Amino acid sequence: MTTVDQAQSVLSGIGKKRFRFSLGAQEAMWFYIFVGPWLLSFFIFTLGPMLASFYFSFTQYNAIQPPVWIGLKNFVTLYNDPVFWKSINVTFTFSGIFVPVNLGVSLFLAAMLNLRVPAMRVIRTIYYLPSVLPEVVTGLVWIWIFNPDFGLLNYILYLTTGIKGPNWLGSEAWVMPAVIISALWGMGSGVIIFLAALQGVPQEMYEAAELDGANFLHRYFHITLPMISPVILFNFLVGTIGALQTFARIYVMTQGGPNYASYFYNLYLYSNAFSYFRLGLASAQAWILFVVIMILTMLILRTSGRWVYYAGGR
Amino acid sequence: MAVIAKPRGFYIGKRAQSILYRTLGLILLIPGLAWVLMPTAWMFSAAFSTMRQVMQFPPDLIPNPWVWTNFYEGFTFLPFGRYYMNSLFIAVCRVLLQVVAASITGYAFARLRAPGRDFIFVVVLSTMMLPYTVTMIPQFVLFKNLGWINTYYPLIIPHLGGSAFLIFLFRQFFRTIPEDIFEAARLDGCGYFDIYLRILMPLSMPVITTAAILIFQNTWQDLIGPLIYINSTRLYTLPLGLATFRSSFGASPWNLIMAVSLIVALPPILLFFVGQKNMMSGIVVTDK
Repeated sequence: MTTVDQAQSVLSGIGKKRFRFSLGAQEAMWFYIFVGPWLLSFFIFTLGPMLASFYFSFTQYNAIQPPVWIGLKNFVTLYNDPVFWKSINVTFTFSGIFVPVNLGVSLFLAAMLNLRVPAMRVIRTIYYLPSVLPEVVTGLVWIWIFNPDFGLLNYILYLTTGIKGPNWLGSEAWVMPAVIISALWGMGSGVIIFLAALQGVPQEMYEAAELDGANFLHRYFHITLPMISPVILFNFLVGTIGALQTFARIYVMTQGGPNYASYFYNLYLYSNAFSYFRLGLASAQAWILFVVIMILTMLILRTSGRWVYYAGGR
Repeated sequence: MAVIAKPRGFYIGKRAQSILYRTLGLILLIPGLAWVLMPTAWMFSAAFSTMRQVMQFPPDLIPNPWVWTNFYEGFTFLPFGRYYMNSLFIAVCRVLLQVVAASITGYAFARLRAPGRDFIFVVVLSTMMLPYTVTMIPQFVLFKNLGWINTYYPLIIPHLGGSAFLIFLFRQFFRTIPEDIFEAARLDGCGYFDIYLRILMPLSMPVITTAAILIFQNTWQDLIGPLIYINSTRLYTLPLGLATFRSSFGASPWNLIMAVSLIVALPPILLFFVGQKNMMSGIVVTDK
């Protein structure tokens, strides 16, 4: 044996030994290589900024001069700010009405769209259409439908009931109903996820129930709803979190007016941050919303044990 | 529980029953169609109408005369052609990057065992709870210090890690692929990356299409990102252009706005039509 051969056999021995020893470690290494980009971007663009904005929320900061520590002053300012409370009121009114109604309607729609009926593909596609359109575009279309003088909605109201409709977006009383109506129009996205869930329910369950004499409604309430309840929970959570962060639609439709009647939380936050450069104050706003969302999520998840059914018994 | 005989007032056959429910369903669905189509129909009609007709009462949905020049005028009123290319560029970058990032991360969570995996996955999911405003301001400061204001980097780079929902979507889909395939591939000496590239990706067209459509739609309609980072009008994206279109011209030229809106709405609609079939099989919500 030459030295080279010896060296080679030793090396390959090491290689083999390491390979046997580290099959699991190798898998773990690849796991971290694949998850690496996400981890990196999480630290740079999520965790780091989170900590930074937590710090900013206790400072006065305008992005030009360095932040100055002012303790809880931002939170006190917000507490004494009627516009802040108005924005909370607007946002929660909207979410409190929009989320449950949207959830109920999407569930119902998904059940209907899951029926085997001729032309269902076309009907489904039409129902998805609103959720496919860009928010800015639908916002623009709705401004015009709500126009008091030549808008379609008031025309239909006039035709059907003879009532002269309100100045929807220009009236403090009617702007929120208008915003909710326009938001409810785009209900398709929840429907798609519900439909996917409905199609995941094992067909045998329905057949067995049918043999036992269960009718359509029985099957819906005793099989369908429990089986898709985790998805209902998911849509409810995501829907609530999304609704509390409404921005683009309002920015286009009302800019928060008239007289702050549709001044959503994130609209106020955005103006504080990027119109007045009160970045500390805006960070405090962001963190307040985050804490509210965490509490809401916790509450929803806590109570979900009572109505969510996990097939795997998780 | 076996039900042998049920006392019933009248009996309708199973077939008749199912037809009854379907007919009822159809009857309930059809009025909804009008509600859903109304705004779209109006957008379409206004895009081809004269300004005078748009402003008339009672409204008339059928353009008279048909005006085709609205599209040309709309696209020259503001440089929407340029905005279109800008939006398209950002959307394509984000679709490519995010699909790759989310799929490979989803694969790791679905198939590779490693210490800490479940914990990291919980962290991934919990980022869905985080309002974007919490990270928005420090990100702005970061990009400002990097000199990236008025560039597209801030609109693309933060998405390099994929996104929680997409990672979840890919993970769920990969978990439906039988374990045997992976074992066979491993026995044949196929590496972890090769499994992803040569075995998983070709099997995953439904979820790739779904993810691509979702990313495209999100990017295409993103308003707050460009609002914060883009100042010069030549870098404007479509949502920013449309928002400006409305606010900066006193009496809004609705027919032009709708003509432009129609063209802006076209790519997401077309994409959705093409990918619709994949979308249903791409969203796996049940855990297997």
